[in-house]
Amino acid sequence: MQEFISNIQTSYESYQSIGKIILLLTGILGLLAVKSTQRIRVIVIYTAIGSLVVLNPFLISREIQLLGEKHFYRLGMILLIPILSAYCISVLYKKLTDKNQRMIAIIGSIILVAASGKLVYTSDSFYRADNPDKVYNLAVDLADCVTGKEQTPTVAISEVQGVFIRQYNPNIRLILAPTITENWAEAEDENTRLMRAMLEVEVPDMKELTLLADKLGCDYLILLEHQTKQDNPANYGFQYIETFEKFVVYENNLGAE
Amino acid sequence: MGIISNICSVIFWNLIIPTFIGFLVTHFWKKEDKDNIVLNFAIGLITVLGIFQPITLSSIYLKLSFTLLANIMKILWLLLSLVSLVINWKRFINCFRKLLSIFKSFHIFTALVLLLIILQIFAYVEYEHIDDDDSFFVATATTTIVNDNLYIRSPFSGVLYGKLPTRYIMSPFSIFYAVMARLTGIHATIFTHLYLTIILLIFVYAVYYLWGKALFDNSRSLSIFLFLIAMLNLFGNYSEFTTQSFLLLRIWQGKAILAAGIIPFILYLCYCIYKEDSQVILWCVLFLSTSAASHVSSMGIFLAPVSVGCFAAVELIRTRKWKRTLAYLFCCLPCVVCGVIYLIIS
Repeated sequence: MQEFISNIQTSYESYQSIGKIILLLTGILGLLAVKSTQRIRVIVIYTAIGSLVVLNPFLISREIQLLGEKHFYRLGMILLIPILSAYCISVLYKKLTDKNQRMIAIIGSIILVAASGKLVYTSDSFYRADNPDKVYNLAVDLADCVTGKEQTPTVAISEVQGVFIRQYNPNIRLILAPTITENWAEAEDENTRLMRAMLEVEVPDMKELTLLADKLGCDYLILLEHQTKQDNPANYGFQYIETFEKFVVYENNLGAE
Repeated sequence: MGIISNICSVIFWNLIIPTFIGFLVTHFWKKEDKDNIVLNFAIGLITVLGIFQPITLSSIYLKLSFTLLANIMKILWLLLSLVSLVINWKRFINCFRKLLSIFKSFHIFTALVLLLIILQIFAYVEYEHIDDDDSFFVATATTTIVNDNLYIRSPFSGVLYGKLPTRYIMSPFSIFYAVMARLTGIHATIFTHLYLTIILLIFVYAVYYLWGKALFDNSRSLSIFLFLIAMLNLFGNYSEFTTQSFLLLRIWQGKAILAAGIIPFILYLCYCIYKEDSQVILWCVLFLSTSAASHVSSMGIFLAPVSVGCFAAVELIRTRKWKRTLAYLFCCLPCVVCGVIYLIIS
């Protein structure tokens, strides 16, 4: 019995992802079955030509080459699936003259749409905004911390969190940006490459790291908590400021000494 | 600035100005219901983006300051709106009268549609979807404002670019965020994540409304059509890459508004051209639309001509008019030019 229910669940979940396609195809077939008008013919022919372009086996490899495998799906944007699906259902609904039949049709359509799809507003991708900027609270905390004394500080942080800081406060300059980001076109010299390598290791050589950070003009060094367990910049002229989640902030006091 | 003044400035620069510019464009359109405010807003916003694209690209090439670009656009948009106000004042009064008569044909499905749209707006106001792409696009806007230059410094770190981000420089939608943030006086990140999402959501539903008006003759069918679209959007998250996911999770991003609003609008225009047998103004708006498509996303440089090309093929099959096919292809010129420039610089 458990296996039976599990099989039904798996089938339903796989249907969810193709439900819209079935909806669309059913709609188009329905349109072709009803009395054809010029309007319908134009839309159907456009969808057919668009589908030929997008799904043509001879063109697919060229399209992937041009757009990249990651972005190939975007070709589907030209098919106007939501508009077409809604149009198909509306036309079929319009053909019904009996009030009860219309009620059943519209309720059935809503159930079909809901059951064959997936609600956009789920906790996986959508959550209550922490701040008006709608960036990570951590980025806001780090930015506010390093701009306590100076409005345009230079900060060394290698983790990807660093790039969210500049959405909130672009006055903060980062010594380097994580290379995992796309559109990376930073001007880097030998020292910044060295800094990057040091920040990425599990246990950095703190003496060398702090010297290099000072040489590059860093006002703040932000490290991960586990990186500071064995040794930390406070032993080399940096002052511990605060810890935010797993990030530890140190201020450069080498110039003050 | 208080929240009320923020809202007023957003309404002025993102709703009123585009609508006025839309009225200016539709002044030359021989169409019965051209005083429809939704039509004029949609056309106006596309025109705003369409004329912004060549000016921004020229500014980037000439290394103008961001402040200069913002002032140029401010003067240009205000001037166009003023001209529109002077020549269209009777139409504005007519439009206002029509707005009041909408309540006469109010339908339960109309109420449901409005409810769903308000729900989607509420979701954008109260909730957030954090996307890694914003570390480039939104941070480009904030970096532009702070440094007062265009694509000189990296948004990731603030250091100088070693080489230009060639893939994205031809679609400087981030500069639009920056200009609007400057004009409204709101922080670019807040403007983009909060206010712009609402404007673009309204634009997308305006496009759906226009499609509905074109496809159906009565308001009841139109309401049902819009209701079904709203439902399809709400339940469209079977992949994070669907148009519906883009629309309701990250509409402020260029590829999202391209998929949800601009491509459908381009095809709506093609459909109008097909139905109304060529008015010059429609071709002009189509030309501006492809420019807008290339502005918001580098995918628009490719997808807009593909969409127009497919529709041109449809019309060729049905009417056998080669000249019109050439006209469709000419309207793709902004995308072609951007594509060629991209190939040269990359």
